[in-house]
Order: sequence, then structure tokens, then C-alpha cells
Amino acid sequence: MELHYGTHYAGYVKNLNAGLTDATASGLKLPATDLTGLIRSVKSLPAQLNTTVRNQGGGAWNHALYFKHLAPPASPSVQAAAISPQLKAAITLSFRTVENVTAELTAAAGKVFGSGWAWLCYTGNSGVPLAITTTPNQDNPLMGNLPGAPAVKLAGCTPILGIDVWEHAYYLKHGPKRPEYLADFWKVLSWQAVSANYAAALAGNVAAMVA
Amino acid sequence: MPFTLPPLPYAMDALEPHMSKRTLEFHYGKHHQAYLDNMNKQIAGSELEAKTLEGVVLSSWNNGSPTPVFNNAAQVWNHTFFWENMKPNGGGAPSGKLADAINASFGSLDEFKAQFKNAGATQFGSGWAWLVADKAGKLTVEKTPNAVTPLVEGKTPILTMDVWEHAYYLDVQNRRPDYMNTFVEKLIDWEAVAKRFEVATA
Repeated sequence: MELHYGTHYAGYVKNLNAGLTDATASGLKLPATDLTGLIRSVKSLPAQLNTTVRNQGGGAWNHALYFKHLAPPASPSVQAAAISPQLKAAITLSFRTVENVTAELTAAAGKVFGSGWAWLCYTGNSGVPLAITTTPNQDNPLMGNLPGAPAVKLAGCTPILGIDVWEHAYYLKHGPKRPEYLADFWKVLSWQAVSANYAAALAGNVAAMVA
Repeated sequence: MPFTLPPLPYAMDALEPHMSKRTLEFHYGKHHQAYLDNMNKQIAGSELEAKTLEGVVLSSWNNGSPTPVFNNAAQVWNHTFFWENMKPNGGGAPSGKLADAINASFGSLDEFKAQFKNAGATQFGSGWAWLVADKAGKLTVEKTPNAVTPLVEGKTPILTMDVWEHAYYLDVQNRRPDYMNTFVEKLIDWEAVAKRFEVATA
């Protein structure tokens, strides 16, 4: 946690800020000034800044979501009972049971090759409001499909739950054993926070998830 | 016939203090072994079993639309290459034709080291930094993501450095630059690199 939050996440924020300062100092007008807006508009940014926002900005956004939805294992918020009725209904429509969604997310996270993330995403489709996708490195479904990168399933969807599978997320505690990290992840995942993320997604207030 | 892993060229603790025994136990014993076991499962009973490992890598690359076999096969190949280009009490400097080629291609050994480490530093996420030789002896530094290797471009690598986090996280955590400095100054087996250079330019 100390390294992941204090060094990796902090590093992404620091590097993003440095990149944005450089860009605006040379006269560039940014299409957005909040992190979520920047992430969404990464494709429209000029080359140098595009890479910084994609990698460092993506890292900042992704880790903001991640740490915000973790909680101590003894906290009531990690229990299934903390799932809001709204989120529960969405899970039922999309996956039938909570066990199914966690199993499928775990499987998706296990299959990511190299560095990346597995996401539970709000699709905007009222019939199947939730679905699972993965992205490489610090990419994020909000970025859409990026030029030169493989197409992202459900590109443009809104992540409400993210599982970091970069090795730095688990290597000190679990070594190479990603499945054990994934099992532990569910013990500290706050369903209360994910429920709040879902409500924010429905309200179109994505920025609230990482505020 | 299933493929097997060549043994490590040295004992698990032989690269200490520069690369820990624990890292090698995981890196060789778990990561490299798992790539091999998974590849063997994937190719069992197929015509790939009759190929060389390089043949499996090239075939599964499938001209840029890699099959599921590629990630495992290429990682088997990349890691064997990686172990072979390190040694206890490594580092120092190359000599002879290789040294001349480095000076000709980069200006100096220091400039090569800077470019090589820059490649490793700027490979975002997982991947590898490479020194590649062409038949005429011209050297270039390259970087590849995840399992990709210059082999698939028909190129001949002579040196590689793993920059997946598992290569250095136990020893230096997030400090990839420290790992790269140690690799370049204390671990490279320049004689192994020189031999590959000779073969590449023969």
C-alpha cells in the first residue's frame, strides 16, 4: 500500500502535473481542466501531451478510483449487504448474481497479459447496464479506442470498479501469484463505494468517482 | 515432445547482491517455468511441437496477429536469452570487434548505455530493451512491449534486459532506473554478447 499509493500513484500525479505545466507554458489551451475531462479527450491532444495524459493521467485516474473503493476487511462496506438496491438490480440484469460478476471479473483480471486493468463498466444500456472489459497499461475505457492500439471491448463505457493487475499491485505480498492477490482483493473491495460509483455513473457525474 | 527449460547458467544466488536469489527463484522458477508449462499445454498434439522454439515463436506471431501461443512461446525464448546474457561479476566493458561496433554505432560505450537505459525507462508497462545487430555489424537499441521480440521483425538481438516489474520489484521495488544501472554495470556478460555479435555478422 505504502509503495502503491505513496510512490506509484503519487508519481503519476506528479508526472501528469509536470507535463500539463510544460504544455500550457508553451501556450497550449487544454480541452478540459479536470482529470476526467482530460482522460476523455486524450485522443484530441497533440502527440507529446497525448502520451503524458494517457500514461500518467490514466495512472492518476485509475489509481484514484482503485484506492477510493478499497476498505479495511472488517469494514461493513466490503460485505455484499453494502451493495445498493440500484447496483444489485443492475448486477441481476447483467450477471444474475454477485458471485457471477466477481467470478467473471476475477477471470478477466487473471487473463490480462502484461500490465493492465480489469473493469466493471456501466454501459449506458438499460437492458444490460454492466459489463466487463480490460485495458492495457494505464489505458482506461473512458479514453475510447486509441489510434494504434487494439480495439477495447466496450470502449467509452464508464468504469465503476477497477482491478489493478500491474505486478506492482501484488508482487511484494504475493510474488507471481496473481490468483491469490485477486482472492484478497475481494476482501478489501468496498461495495459501498462501488454503489456510489454506479449512482454517479447513472447521474453522468463521472468526475465524482475520482474526486 | 514437450519443450523443457535449459537450466540457469549459474546458481540462483550467484548474481547476488545485484539480483537476489529470491528474484531468481520467482523469475526462473515460477514465471519462466509457467510460460513453458502453458506453452507446452497449448501446443500439445499440434505441428508446433515439431518445430524449434524459434519456429514456434515466429509461427505463432502470425505476421502481427499473434495466436495465444505467442505470448508464452516468446516469453520462454526471451527469458532464456536474458539469463544467458548475465553472469556473476558481470559488467565492465566489451572488447574487440563488439567494442568497435558500439563506438561506430553509438559514438561511445557511455552513449550506448544511456540509449539502452532510456529504452528500458520509456517502455511503459511491461517489456524489454534490446541491442540488435545487422549483418553488417550496425547496432541499434530497440524496445518492445510485453512478449514481443525483435525476432519477429527478422532482426538479430545480441543483448536484452527484462523491464517487466517482476524482474526488479523484490530488489528495488519501483526504482527501475536503479535496476537498469545495476544490470548494465554489474550483470551484463559481454563475452556472451560478443559471441552473439560474431554469429550475427558471420
